[in-house]
Amino acid sequence: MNQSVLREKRVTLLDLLDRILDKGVILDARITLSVADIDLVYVGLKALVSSVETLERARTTAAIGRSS
Amino acid sequence: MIYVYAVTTSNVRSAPDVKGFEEAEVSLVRARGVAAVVSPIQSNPDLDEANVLRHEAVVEAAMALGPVLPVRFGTLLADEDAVREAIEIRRTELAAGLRRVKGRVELALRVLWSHDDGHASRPAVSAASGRDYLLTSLEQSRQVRCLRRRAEARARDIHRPLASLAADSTCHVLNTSRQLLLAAYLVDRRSVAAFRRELDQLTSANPDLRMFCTGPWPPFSFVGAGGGVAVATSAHE
Repeated sequence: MNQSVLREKRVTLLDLLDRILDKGVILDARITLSVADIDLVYVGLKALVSSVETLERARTTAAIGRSS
Repeated sequence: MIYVYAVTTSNVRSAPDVKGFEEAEVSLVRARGVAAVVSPIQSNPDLDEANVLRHEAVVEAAMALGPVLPVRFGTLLADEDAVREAIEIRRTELAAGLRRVKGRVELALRVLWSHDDGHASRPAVSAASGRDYLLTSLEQSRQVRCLRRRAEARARDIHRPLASLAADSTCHVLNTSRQLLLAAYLVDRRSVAAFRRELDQLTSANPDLRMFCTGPWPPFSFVGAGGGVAVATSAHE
């Protein structure tokens, strides 16, 4: 998988997680996710954000490398 | 137990033709003008990528049949009566939300920037005196304020033209130092193309920014006034 496809997939998953866990209607329900689960996912989300940023930097560096 | 994926209008013809968790049939529970998109479930779905995608697939299938308000992942109720009661007591807000999102989708935008925050290049200052220390920290907080102002101005220049093409929007500036803007837009389906054209122009006009637009999504960020039809949140028990 090339880097930009990988990056897009990651951003899409990140945006989906951001929505499905943190937005949407809250019914008076037993939300069955524990705080620990949510925290774990958000640690994962942070890792995803950094991985997007890292990929971006890698891309920028590569572009600079090519142009020089 | 019953798992709830979304709320839709009660006049949709049928439940979406898609399998829910545990390969169960998806059905509708109707209550005075609104309906819940549900399926029976034996045990709590784990929070993993496959299950998140399954929840999303059911919501998107329902979205093809009528307006939907997506429900937060992990919502379980005891039985169909409990579902009916849960949507009936907030019928007014849910119906208003459904009218608002009808014919509209959500687009997400994440804008990254590379700013020179000055910290990396600044040599470590050993504060020789209290006065030097104060001057240094004053200078640092001035730089932080300056960066914040610059970010807000740039974020506004991106956000405004896009928000003008949307029925509603949300916007966060600098929620991490690299993330200039995190925004969501509620856009008429017929305006999506115009929105993307505007985004393309903004991308060309701002070559130093990296823009990531995803969607169309179900209107997760626009389910109610003030960011959620949150009633009696008994989450995290």
